[in-house]
Amino acid sequence: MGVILAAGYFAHRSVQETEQNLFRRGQDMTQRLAQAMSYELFVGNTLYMKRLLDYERTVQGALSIGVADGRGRWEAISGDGGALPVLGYKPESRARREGHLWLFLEEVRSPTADSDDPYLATSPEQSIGWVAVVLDDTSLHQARAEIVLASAGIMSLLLVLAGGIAWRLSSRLGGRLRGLAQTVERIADGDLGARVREVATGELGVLENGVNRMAQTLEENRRDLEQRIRDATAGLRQQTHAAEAAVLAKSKFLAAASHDLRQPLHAMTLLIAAMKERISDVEARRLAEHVESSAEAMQNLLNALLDLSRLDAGAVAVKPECFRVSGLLRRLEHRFAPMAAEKGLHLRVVPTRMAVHSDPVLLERILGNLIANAIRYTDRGGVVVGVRRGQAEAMRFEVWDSGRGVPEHFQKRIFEEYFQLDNPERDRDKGLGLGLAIVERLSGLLDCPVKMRSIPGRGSCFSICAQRCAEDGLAQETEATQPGRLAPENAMVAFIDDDEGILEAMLELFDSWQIDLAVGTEAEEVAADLRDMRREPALILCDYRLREGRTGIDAIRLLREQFGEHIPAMLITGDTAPETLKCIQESGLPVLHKPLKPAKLRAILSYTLAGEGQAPEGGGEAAAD
Amino acid sequence: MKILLADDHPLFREGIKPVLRKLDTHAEIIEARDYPSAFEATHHARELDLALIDLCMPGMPGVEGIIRYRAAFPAVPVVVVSASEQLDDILKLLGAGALGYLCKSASSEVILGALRLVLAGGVYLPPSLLEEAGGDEGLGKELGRNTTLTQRQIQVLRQLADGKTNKQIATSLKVTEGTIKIHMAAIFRILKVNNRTEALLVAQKMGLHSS
Repeated sequence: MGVILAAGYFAHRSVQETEQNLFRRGQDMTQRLAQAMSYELFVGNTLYMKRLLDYERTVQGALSIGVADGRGRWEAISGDGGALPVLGYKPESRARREGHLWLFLEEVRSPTADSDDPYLATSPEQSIGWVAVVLDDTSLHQARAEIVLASAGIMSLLLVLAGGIAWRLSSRLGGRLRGLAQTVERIADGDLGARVREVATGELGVLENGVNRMAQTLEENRRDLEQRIRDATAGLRQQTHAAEAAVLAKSKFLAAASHDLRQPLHAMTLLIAAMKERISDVEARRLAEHVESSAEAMQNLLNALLDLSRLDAGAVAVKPECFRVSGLLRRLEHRFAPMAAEKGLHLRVVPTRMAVHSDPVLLERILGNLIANAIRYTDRGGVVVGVRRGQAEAMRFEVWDSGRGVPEHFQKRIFEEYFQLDNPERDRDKGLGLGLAIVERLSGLLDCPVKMRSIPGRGSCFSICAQRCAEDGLAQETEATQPGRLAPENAMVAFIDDDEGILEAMLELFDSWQIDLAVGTEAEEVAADLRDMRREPALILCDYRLREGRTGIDAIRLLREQFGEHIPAMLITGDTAPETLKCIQESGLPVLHKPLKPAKLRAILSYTLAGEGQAPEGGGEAAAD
Repeated sequence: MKILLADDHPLFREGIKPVLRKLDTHAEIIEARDYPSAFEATHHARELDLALIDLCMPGMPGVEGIIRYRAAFPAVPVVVVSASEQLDDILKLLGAGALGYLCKSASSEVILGALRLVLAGGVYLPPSLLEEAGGDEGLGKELGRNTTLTQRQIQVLRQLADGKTNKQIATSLKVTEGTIKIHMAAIFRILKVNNRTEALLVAQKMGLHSS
């Protein structure tokens, strides 16, 4: 723009200069002609004037030149006379412009006196006429157009040149700058490996070099830092591994050694109890009691610790199954009701028919710990245990207490090992602070998280989630798998003894075992009774010495004849006479010795009735005598 | 009384001996420290009254050891002693005919009570399993003459009060007539009566009748 303005300005200036030149030329020409015409006009030499004018017009390129007399009448005209102005007596301006014509006027004065012409000597210098010159500025316009054209041409040439240079410069410089900016941006984005590729010379080069150096320094610093972080992390990891390994090793050791660790303590407890009974001295007895309670505390602590290690060592296997909750709740009630009663608390277990899918042993331990904890931290009121049905398959065991509650800032910490509320002196009567830590681990194993809500001063509620089971698939409190049941139902044992007192006692014992006993003093009597009942004995027990000289061997033979040779049978005897023993041995029947002890009888029965086979012939003590 | 005490921890054996002596001051205690020696000691000893066996002893995996021991000596009442409670194990052991399962952490009173229960014909289980083993709770006494009526005897007396004969009672209780006769004898003795009429009067006084 500036360039265009400048060009315009210069063009304008040169046009002005041309105009001035034209003006000056016109003036000069007019003045010169006026002087040259002075004498000729004075003498009226028209021809000469005409010739001079023609010459002048041709040389100077004027449109027309005219010489007029004092009155304004044209004496001589050269060129286009029409272009000459009409001269009044006294024309006002000496030079003026009319359209594209320039008009110059000059007064022609009489010749000066120094002329040697005698006519002139007397006449003073006075105006005798006019010279008029008309110049056409067409040439000027032409010149102006030329100048403008030239300027424009030069301008455009310059512009194109400048544009070209600018484009070239900008394309080179811009590319560089863009590259630089991109590099800086990449560095800012964290790519410290970014570099300006081609480094130029000059200021840009300095900048590019600076950027590259900066990036390199940054990269080195970062590499250094990363290395240090890597080293530190590796160190930490190593330490963590070592610590974890140590903890695991400890847990594994404790879990493995728990059997051996517990033994001396068990022995100690028993020995202290035995010792206490032999001490008659009051003071010594008091000391023994202290030792006893210390041992007990130690045992509790050790048990809790070992439980914890077994859990941490992953030595506890989870065996989930579907089972009814009622049995579990009843057991818990049996176990904790005395503990609650001792503190004057009421333990209420809400009955339910729900069944749960979980590990029965672990679940019972969790709930046991929660209930024990609830009782421990409740001073009045009670503890309620119940099950809540959740959405879909979910269910929730809840243990509510009206105890002290857990302040909010402790609620997260109560599951930590050894954390206890209100027990800065670590009074062992308040427990060891391991219960909830065990609960948390167990619940982790069962994948049913423990939750706690508590209002300090009002009470707490601990709950664990579990998976519900369909109830109909489960047997109703299975009787068949009842452990400790001696014989299959409907098993009947025949017992023959000549002493009614013994029959009576035996009947009572068998009643307590829930085994039907067919008793009698004679084999025939028992056999008849059994036939009446249409039953056969699963086992025959028979006293060796019966009434009227008959023996148990005979009785057994009789019963076996009627009910089957396969029926197991045993003789009972209090005899130690060699002949009797010889007879018994010859019969090949197993023998039990009087006094018959319930435990022993039960041991044999459980073997015989469960095995459904022949009683151990020659086995065990039966053959000992 | 002869008792086998099998445990690989000498200290524990020492600890439990006083308890066994309380059971019977003159108890003969035979010690063993692993399964092989327990089998051998039992074989040589005659008439063992009780075998107290540690489940985890060298020589055999615990449960299998007990099963084999029971098979070898079916007349010996076995009480298993263990340092830990494993429900699966307990059920298997009871199936094998063990008469008790004692936890080593039990106090001497509990151990003593448990052994007495077993000797009287009961089965002892840890409290957590006691419920399932129910029905043996009245078995705290030695075999002998009772002085109070048992459940069964009350059942019999109730039917007597309804005027049923021994045969009818036997049929309804699904036992033999001879058995009812013996029940009657026990009832007469305990109620200190001499015949059915007197027993019937006592029964009516007690408010016993069927349904």
